[in-house]
Amino acid sequence: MKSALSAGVRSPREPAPACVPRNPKAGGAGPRTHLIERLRASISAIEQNPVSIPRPPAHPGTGEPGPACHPSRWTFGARPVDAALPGGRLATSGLHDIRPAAHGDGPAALAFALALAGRRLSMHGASPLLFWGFTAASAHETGAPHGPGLIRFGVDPAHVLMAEVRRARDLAWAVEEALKSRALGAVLARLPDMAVLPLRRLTLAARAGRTPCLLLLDHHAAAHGFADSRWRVTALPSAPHPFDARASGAPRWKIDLERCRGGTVPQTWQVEWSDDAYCFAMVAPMADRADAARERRVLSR
Amino acid sequence: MTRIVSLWLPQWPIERMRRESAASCPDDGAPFVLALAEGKALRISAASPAALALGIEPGLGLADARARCPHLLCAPAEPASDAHALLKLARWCGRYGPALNLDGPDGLWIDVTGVAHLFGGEKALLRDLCERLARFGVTARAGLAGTRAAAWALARFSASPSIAPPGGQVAALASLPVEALRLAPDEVRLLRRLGLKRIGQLATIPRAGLKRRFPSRDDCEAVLLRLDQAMGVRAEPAAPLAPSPFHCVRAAFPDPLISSEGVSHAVAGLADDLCAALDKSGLGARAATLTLWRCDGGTVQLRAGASAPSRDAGHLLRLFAERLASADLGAGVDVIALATQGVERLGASQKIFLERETRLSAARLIDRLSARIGAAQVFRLERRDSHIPERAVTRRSAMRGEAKGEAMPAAPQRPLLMLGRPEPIAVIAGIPEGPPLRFTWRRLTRCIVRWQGPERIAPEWWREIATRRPSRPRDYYRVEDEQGARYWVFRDGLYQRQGEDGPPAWYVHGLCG
Repeated sequence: MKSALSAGVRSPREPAPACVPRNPKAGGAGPRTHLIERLRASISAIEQNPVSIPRPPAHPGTGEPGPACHPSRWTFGARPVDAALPGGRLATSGLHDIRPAAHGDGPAALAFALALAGRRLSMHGASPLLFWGFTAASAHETGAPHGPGLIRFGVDPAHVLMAEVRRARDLAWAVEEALKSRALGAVLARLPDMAVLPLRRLTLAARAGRTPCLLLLDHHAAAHGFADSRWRVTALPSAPHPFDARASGAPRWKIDLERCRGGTVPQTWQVEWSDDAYCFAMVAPMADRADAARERRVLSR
Repeated sequence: MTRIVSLWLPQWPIERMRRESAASCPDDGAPFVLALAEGKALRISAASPAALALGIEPGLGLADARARCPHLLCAPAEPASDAHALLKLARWCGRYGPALNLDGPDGLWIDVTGVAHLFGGEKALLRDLCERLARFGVTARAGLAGTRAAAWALARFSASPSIAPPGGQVAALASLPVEALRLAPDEVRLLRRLGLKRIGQLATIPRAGLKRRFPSRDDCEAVLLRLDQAMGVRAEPAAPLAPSPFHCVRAAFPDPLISSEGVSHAVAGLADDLCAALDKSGLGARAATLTLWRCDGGTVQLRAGASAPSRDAGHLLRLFAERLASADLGAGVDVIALATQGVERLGASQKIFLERETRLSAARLIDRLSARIGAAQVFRLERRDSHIPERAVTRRSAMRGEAKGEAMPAAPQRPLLMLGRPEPIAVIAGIPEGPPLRFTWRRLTRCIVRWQGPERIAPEWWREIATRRPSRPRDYYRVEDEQGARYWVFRDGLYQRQGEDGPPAWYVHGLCG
């Protein structure tokens, strides 16, 4: 116990340790270790916070070290999902495919991709810049990105470099250049359905530049074997707002991990994105689902 | 035999403002003035023709002017922007003569010695100049004479365009009033009291008698100096605007280069030489032009820009490499020239957001993307000072560097994607101020289960002074349908205040994740 205490007191100048939950049995009494981890997380959060996005020091309730302390691994923040990924994290130099389940789930897939990008940009040692490429046709159809709407997902609009192109070929080239440049934390692109997607080149570029690429594809796009992980997103009715019964609260999505390099069984989860802690949380079980259905019937009458 | 054109832009501040934003200036018919704060009072610094017709002139106090004309429109004067824009116009006028400079806050002089034959004569030159400026929306009056002072006088005090023949300043200026000599107001008053109202009278009077009439010798000397400068007897040297520094390296080949590899190799050598020249003067290039002269007489010109000044030969080469590979070389290239278009001091201060290497690689990435896709298509989002959602955020080309504005606000919540134009929807909602219950968009009906709002966004009345139909206030709602898709819809207009536009209409403006 003494060693745990003295190890816990650090001067603020030392770099923060990697935020990995410690085994409570090894270090002494469980609650004390949790407390020390939370204190460490809050100190590192105070030191390293970016100015424009307010981050709370630790997620209250669970004993996990706060997601706001800059993690060194690209995780979801929700334990069941992280446990299913090989190595407990997403690969940071690879291609990740995100598809909506139906045409109307496009904005939900984009929001999921942005949430993942936001978590990647806040990683320790990653560049805070994000590159976002889209075609003029998709901007015309579903709208162009709006700056203030990105803040909710943990992405600072001042650090986003956007490119609007007319031809899909140019977008593929731009994404490849961005991946090879090694100046970015993540690359996000909405590629339209092309006859031949240059996915092998993008995978090689991502590996060479050690930058992750989040590709948003159409719901009917064919599957391919180059991605490190393949996700399918469906929008779910959102969580109830904590203060207003009629308003919609945190966004909820059903995510399907269809394939992951490293051999995982395909699984489905229902996750909720928390705006204030910038991490994913598992949706609570059936208990409040009946309430939601009852509310819906009342409102629509 | 020098020939100098003097250009006077009597309405420059107002026309400059109108060129930059047509909405901030009303039409020509309305009396409109610009006011400048002098001490504690606001004085008029520029007046539109309609205001001048009502007797409101620059120099009058704003309160007096308002008393004379109650419906006078006024805007604050911006002398710094006027000067900057005049400098840009002056650089454009460089097509008429090699040396030019500003002459007061609303004038220019251009040295056109030996240039007139290129435009087909002096009259044609002045006509061309005035017509082109009129096409820009700038009223200009021009005068051409052998001295700068004579041209100044002709531009302002005689019918435009007026030309004094070589050596004929005396005759041309004789009928102009003495104010045309750029004298101080006291001197003008004294001359008028002496009965000398025209320059011709002043020129013929014996000088000894004049000296006795002035209170001091210096005043008389000043008047006579101006007169002699106008007549060309004494010189009035004036320095022209210094052109921006220009670096150019060129290579000519005894046999024409026929392959693009050869051309790339030659361009690589030129880039090294250019960067060595930039290095010696401590500058970095922001834009460069590569010109290839083919042996069949054609030229190929490629331009490339950089978002941060650079003198790295490899970077410059990569900017041109793509387009060089696809350029049409014809039968061969004889001469290649590489020149810089804009230079800056290298090492200018940059923000300390990112690590140095990341910043450099990001700048290089921006340059490469802009070279292929276009500088306007690679952008960052910048916050603008407006609460109207479509005007709150603009795109700022990434080549222009990082935005210096404030960070975007996190509250109130805004959608992730915003449509370019709000699309109309058919809505079932409670009247007069109820939330939407069901709406049809793109032929799909969606039932709303959750909603939040309204957030009222009123139009910016200060921007819509001159328009006849101002826009209506909007009530924004964040709604969610049964499947979980979220929209940002608004009602345009209020039921209680239905004007001539009819009942309020509903639109969808954005999609949230």
